[in-house]
Amino acid sequence: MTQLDAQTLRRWLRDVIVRRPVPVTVAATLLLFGLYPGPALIVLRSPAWRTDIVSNRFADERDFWIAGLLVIVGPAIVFANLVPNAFDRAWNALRDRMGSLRDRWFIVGAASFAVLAAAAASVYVLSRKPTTSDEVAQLWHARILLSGRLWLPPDPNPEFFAIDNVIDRGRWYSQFPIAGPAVLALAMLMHAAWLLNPLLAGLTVVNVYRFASAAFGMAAARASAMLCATCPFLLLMSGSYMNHTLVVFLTTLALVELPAWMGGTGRRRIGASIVIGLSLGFAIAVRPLDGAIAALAVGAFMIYAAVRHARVPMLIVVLAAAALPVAGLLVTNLLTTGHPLLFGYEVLWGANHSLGFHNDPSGNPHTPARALALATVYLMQLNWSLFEWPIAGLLVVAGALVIVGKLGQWDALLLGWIGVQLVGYAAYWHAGALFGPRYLFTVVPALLLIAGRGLAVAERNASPAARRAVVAAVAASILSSWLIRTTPVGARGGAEAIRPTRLAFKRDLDPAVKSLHGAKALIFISETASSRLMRRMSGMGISRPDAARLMATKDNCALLDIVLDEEREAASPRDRLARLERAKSYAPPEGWRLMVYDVAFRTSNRQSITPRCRAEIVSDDAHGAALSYGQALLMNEIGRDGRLAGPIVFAADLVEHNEVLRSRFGDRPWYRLEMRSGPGGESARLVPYE
Amino acid sequence: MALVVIGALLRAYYLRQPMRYDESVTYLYFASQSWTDVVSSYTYPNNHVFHTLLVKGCATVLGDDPWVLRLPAFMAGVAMIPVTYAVGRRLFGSAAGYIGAALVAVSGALTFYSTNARGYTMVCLATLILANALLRLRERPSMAQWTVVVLVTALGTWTVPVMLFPAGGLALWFVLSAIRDDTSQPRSDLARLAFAVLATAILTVVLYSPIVVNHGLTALTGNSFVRASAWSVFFRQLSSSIKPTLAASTLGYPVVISALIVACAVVGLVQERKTNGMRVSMAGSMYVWCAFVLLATHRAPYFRVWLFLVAPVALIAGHGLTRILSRVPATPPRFAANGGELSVAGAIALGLVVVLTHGVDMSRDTGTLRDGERLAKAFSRALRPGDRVFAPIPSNAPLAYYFVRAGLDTTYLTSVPSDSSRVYLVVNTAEGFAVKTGLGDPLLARFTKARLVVRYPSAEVYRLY
Repeated sequence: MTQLDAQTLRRWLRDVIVRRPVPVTVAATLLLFGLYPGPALIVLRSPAWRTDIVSNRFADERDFWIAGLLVIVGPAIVFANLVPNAFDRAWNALRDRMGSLRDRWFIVGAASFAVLAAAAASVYVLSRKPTTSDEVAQLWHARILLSGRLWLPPDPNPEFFAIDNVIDRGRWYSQFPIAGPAVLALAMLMHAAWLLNPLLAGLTVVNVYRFASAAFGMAAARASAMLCATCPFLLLMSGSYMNHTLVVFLTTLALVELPAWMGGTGRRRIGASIVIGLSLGFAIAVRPLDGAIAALAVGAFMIYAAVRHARVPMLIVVLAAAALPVAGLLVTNLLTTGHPLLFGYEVLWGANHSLGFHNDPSGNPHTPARALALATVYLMQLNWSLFEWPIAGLLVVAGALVIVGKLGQWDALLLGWIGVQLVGYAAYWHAGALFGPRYLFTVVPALLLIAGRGLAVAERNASPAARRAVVAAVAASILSSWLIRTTPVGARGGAEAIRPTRLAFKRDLDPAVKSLHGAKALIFISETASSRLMRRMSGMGISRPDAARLMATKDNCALLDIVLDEEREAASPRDRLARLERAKSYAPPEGWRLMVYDVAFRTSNRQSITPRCRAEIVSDDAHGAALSYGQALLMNEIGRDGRLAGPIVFAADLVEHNEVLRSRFGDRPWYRLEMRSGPGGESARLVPYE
Repeated sequence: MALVVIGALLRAYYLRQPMRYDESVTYLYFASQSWTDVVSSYTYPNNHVFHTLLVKGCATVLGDDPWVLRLPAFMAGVAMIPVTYAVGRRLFGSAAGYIGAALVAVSGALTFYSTNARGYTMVCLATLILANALLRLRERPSMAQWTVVVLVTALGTWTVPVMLFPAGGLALWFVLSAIRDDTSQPRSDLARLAFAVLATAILTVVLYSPIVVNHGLTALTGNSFVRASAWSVFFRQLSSSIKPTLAASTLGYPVVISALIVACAVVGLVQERKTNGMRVSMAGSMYVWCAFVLLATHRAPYFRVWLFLVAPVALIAGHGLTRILSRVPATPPRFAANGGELSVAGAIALGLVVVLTHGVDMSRDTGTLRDGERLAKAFSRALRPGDRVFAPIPSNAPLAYYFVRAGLDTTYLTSVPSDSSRVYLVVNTAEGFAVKTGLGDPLLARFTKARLVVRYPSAEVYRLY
């Protein structure tokens, strides 16, 4: 190393570390917990997480980053500096051309891209179908709302129509707060429910752009909007029916109005106060914890600003505006659960569903250590879900923080929000993962804003060689991620990897149903053995959390035998639960796994498989590929009396237990809907019931 | 000259090491066949055609001793030393050239492949000659040098198609240099390069035409060793190949010495263009091209494909060391100006290290059966018609080679045993095999007992019942 280089290095270290302690500390924390060594120490070594899908994905992504650095990003950086003049000319020309593009057209382009990409994800990756029980539950709740009711009267045979996350005892409605299903219902009215989230994704890009242009300037705004429009996590989630996109739109809308609230004229400030209040209030009414965290972050910022600049009256306007949607939420809670502060989550799962360190609804303890592991798992996933580049996402965010250097008020707001969201959801027992760390989805725009700002600063202030490196690395990363099918990593590869998953939710049932030409029918949907067992317990009055706990802790064959015996004689749910608790525990020897179609069906060993259990398992294979009852429930019609109606009724197949429906639906032909292979591939077919 | 002698002595020390799997296959399947077969057979990519021709030539004249079969690789490996110096002197000056040549002379990896009857050191030599020619062409046009470029590239590619990596990288460097006005006649140089590429392509096609006619183009471009893998496999293999590649490229060196060489190379890389005044980095161009080819083929190659980089890295490390020494006040000016003595002393020391660590002879690269010759001799006394010897990969080819040398029929290794056959199993313990290792050979299924007959340091022989 020459003296010159040593001096340069010393100067660089001094500039970066000594003069920027806060961003360096935050960046280091993100990397330590999210990239290395946190994942290795906290997650990958732990038996509880070792076989988790996130751990496996981390291994794939790590290979992608190392190999990508060698053959994609590294060569791009080197090439840019091999032909510096030509590269600079090309980049300057592109930048000038983009600069000459009016803001309006730029943002229309970026937002349109996001809408189209999210819509493409919905069609191509998710088949425009709800692929999680959360989506099915909210769509069903939206159907309930469209029937003119907040809830339906419970069905007399709920075990045939039950789905996860839907309350079907006492009253029939979903566990989710009202605003999400309400917005879905509006979209359903326009026959465009699947387009709702793609449109919201586009609007979120607009929000991000507008906030960044006011807070950080035009270059950062454009970079952030570009990152947002190409964020795989945002696009995939927006291809689904999940309520996360709605919350992201609402919280970023609140962000957009903050600069005006801080520095606008009096009238503009009132308008901003109303929009901020309504946005955050609606966010609370959709996802209470996400909304509350956003309100906490933004609220703390506003209180600080209000006290400092004597704008306390404006706070009252914000609170008043926020109170409207929140009041609506509380009223609907009162009308559905019976208490304004009691949410459907707790009605369905019990008090243990709530935030904090206690046993979860299945009886497993949620401890600070597990919270730390959850936070690490969420941060780990940001490495790929944010960009799906051959560079770890947190490395980009951390690098941006260091490059930005001195943090301003907006950076503090964004970082504070991210921090509270991470801590808040770490304290929540459920490990949420869907296309990425879904409980951090709300702060994805904040992370993208930081990254976008860092890129803009680097492009403006870095040395020519460093600027070329940044531009070339980002360009190569985006192009490789979007153009090469590097399954299961990369934006395109990730989408390709998701496409063949959760097929039970994606089957097209319409052709089979249309073959009835509107004739009356009762159609049974054959699910897997574990789903049937859950339903059987539900039919005996066992609560959802108890059933879920028994399924997880007991040998499923032993459980099934007791359930089948119980179905023959009358008894109280309490007595039945006591007998089910005595079932043999699930305790497989190391490495044992039952090789059957339904991987969720747990047996301890071969001796556990009784004849009745064997028949139950074998029936999975007999009915062809698995179907999920969720989308069939959504095809049921709701009558004026709030009961299931219509010529065709769909019910879950509970084999011999189906006979209890004879008295209700004996007037119509019965069928089983089964997936069968044919010349044109697998298709749903109606098979007469025997 | 001293460095050439040191390098030659070190290589000569290993020239008689036991035959390895790949080189045995080269001899048995190709070099021992007819001249026509050598140029037209490509049943395995193991046929490094031009190298195999030279091996056949040597074997025809001097016999089939291992050292004879290794002579072409050995000669190429020794010739690399002065050519490395020539390239280094042009790139970074005499001192760096000496140090680079010294590192090449005592490189464990290059010593290994200089004593392995395969074509890789010939590709390394071709790379250096090509680099030297292009460096000279950068300074002034020369018909003779362009002829060298075409011939060396075509012959290198005819030896092993992986010549595409260095040749493409150097061509890219020359193109970029011309584009950036860093050659003597930029526009004309570009035209000449285009012509040279065309001529090379035509010559290569002509040289490979017997194989293409015989086996089709896919034998070269779509065989199982070059076929594209799934991206996830490619990423996994590439990322997991870094450590073994580093280990193989510093074969025979303790970690401290390897780390020092890498550190010097990093400094040399940073300082590359500050010294030689070239506007385009040759190392950078090579890297970009190789990455491009890797991305296009998405197939992670073996370390030996990267062997051509050892000499350039040695030169860059040499350059780095001279830069470091030039900044150390206590360094005698003579050392900084001319690293000859330093290089010879260092080469002797490093050569001894390579010998003492046994990195080269104990390496399992390309497959070993170290006691193959002893086994063959023992079998020549014991085998009788109808017997069968099972020797799974990588034991089979070296054993077959030594069977041929011992005058034994190689059908002992391939025939179907009858009920009266005595059946032996060679267990290559040095390669991690044990008598219980599952071999997947259906012919072995009927045997349930194994009795140890003889044990050698690297292998055991069992009689099967």
